[in-house]
Amino acid sequence: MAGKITKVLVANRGEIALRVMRALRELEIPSVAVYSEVDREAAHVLFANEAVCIGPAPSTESYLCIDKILDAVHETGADAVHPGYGFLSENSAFARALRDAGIGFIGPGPEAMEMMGNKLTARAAMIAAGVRVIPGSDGALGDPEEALRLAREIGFPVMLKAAAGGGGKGMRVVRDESEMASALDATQAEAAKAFADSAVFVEKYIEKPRHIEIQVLADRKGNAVYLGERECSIQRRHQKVVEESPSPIVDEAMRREMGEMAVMVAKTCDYEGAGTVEFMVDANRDFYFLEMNTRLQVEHPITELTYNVDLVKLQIAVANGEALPFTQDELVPHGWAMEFRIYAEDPATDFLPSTGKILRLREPNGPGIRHDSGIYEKYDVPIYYDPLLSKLVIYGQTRNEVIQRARRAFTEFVIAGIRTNLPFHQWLLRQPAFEKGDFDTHFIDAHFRPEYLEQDEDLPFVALAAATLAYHQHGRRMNFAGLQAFSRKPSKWKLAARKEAVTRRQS
Amino acid sequence: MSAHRYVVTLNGEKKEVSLSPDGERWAITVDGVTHTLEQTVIERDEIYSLIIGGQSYMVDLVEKNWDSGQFTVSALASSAQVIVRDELESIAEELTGGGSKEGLFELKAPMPGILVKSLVKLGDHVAQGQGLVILEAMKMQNELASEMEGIVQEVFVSDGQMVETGALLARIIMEDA
Repeated sequence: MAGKITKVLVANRGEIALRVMRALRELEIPSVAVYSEVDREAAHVLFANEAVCIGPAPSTESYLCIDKILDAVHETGADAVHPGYGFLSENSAFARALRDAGIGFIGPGPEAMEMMGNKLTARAAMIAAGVRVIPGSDGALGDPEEALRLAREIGFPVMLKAAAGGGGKGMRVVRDESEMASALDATQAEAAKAFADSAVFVEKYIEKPRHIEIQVLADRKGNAVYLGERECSIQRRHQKVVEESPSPIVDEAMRREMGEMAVMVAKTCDYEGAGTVEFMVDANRDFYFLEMNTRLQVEHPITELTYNVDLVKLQIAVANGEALPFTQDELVPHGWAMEFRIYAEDPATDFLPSTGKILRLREPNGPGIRHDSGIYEKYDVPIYYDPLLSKLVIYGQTRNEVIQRARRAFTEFVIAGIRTNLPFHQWLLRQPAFEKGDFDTHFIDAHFRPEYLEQDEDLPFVALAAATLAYHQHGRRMNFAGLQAFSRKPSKWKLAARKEAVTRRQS
Repeated sequence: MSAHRYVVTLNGEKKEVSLSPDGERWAITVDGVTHTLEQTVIERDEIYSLIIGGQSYMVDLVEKNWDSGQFTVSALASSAQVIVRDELESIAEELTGGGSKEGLFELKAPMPGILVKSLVKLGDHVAQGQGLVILEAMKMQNELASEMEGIVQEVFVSDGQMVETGALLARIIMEDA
């Protein structure tokens, strides 16, 4: 791509497509939306300057089709693509296809994506670069003797993990030496059954793990900085639900140490643009590299608020070949920010997804509120995509102010017609452990039960009164309308007169 | 002024409610306790502001069926299901019987989705809480379970098919029913 970006195709949907288009509009760069057949009325299509349909509802036939997106790029004359998160954002074949076509990709190069995309190569590269990873065997374990020897080196407790595993399957905690032989046996058998591959490796078991990540930003001129951490430990089934910045357990020294390590990770893969380095943090506040996400994160707004930056506009500046507008020393965080992900999931029924028409939407407002949303009143939420509807982001001077403000915001927030996790957030904000910042990634599983969800004690009476009154008034109107209709029936002599007039005209 | 009498069901509990106009306001009596109610209509049949005994509430009638008197009411950052019947209608319905279906469980789709797989077949014995079908929506597979122990009398078997909310997915009957 030669010259500055003049038109951007956003290869995504939902709230993130809108987020990117808002930055483009501020820069007065026209935006192009792509949409599947069920997304004609989606918010990002309504917002964009131009829009192109790219196929049927399933994302494998639309948002994940590299060819169709390239066609849309050529058809509209866009000279760059912003991939958002998810979909094709970490697909190196997509980044390479755009590069080959002379189109800009607002993100890192395909080489960086490939290096970070594979967990094993990423781990090996990080070890070589001197980055701390979770101690463990780097290959499959053979007999129990080898497993024991490695476990002693690492220190108990350890975790046995299926090499081909994922989603919590094929994992077993081993607390002492006596448990090793039978645990290895069981894990290998489980791995063979679940993944048709019995290879198992061992790594240190992290007690009370927290998930903390560092935002990095790098330009093409060799500058790279970190923009503090995001605490993402409030998760359900490995899905983040609430994030905050700063983390309640990270102080300035730890932030610098983690930040410098994250910058080193970014430099190791020649990173360009905005990226995130994820760490696992144990109960002693020791941190270990997990992986690097080579894209903009869902939770980027909390960093934008505490560092007073616009990460999407910075991504575009970097893609235009500009140098970063600040040095590390100039980046000082202020205040506190929290993001609450609003999912179309019902916390009362084990988070079953819920779709349908949004019959009422009333968004919170006032000091410290930012709502990044992909929905509107009367919008029909389709079944095909991610259940993330929007993100409520709260800013305040202190963590305590953010919690008070968030509680207040949730009293204003109405989404009706579909079920959402709004009641979950109201519950979370009243938990003493959450208030104290004392939690780890097991928090929701360990503490949340649907029966803990509470409603205001006035609700039953208010609902009863409102419904009874509305029903009564509606009935009255219907009776009145019925009487009027009856009295408006034309009288017999009027009918006779009309009939006579018609007869006369015909003659 | 004469009072209008209703029978209102809320959280499975029936309550006798009487409503009478009181100048610009209303007097509403529930369980023998009378409250003063002032109503302002923001949007007819949709949005109201209520002041009950001096307390202010904003209320949305999110879903309503005027014939059956069924409402979903949203207020106080939450919502509730309410059924309102005229006192006379309510008595008539009691006499004709509510058509209760004991010894039967019908699994209906709680949301539109793709029926990935049925986990049971006709004539199977199922335990309470046992998964009957897997329904996929929003990239997530959800196992839907039986609420009672019994025999599978009917089960939807066209795997991979799209189903709408309320579609019958399975019917379980009591063993000796």
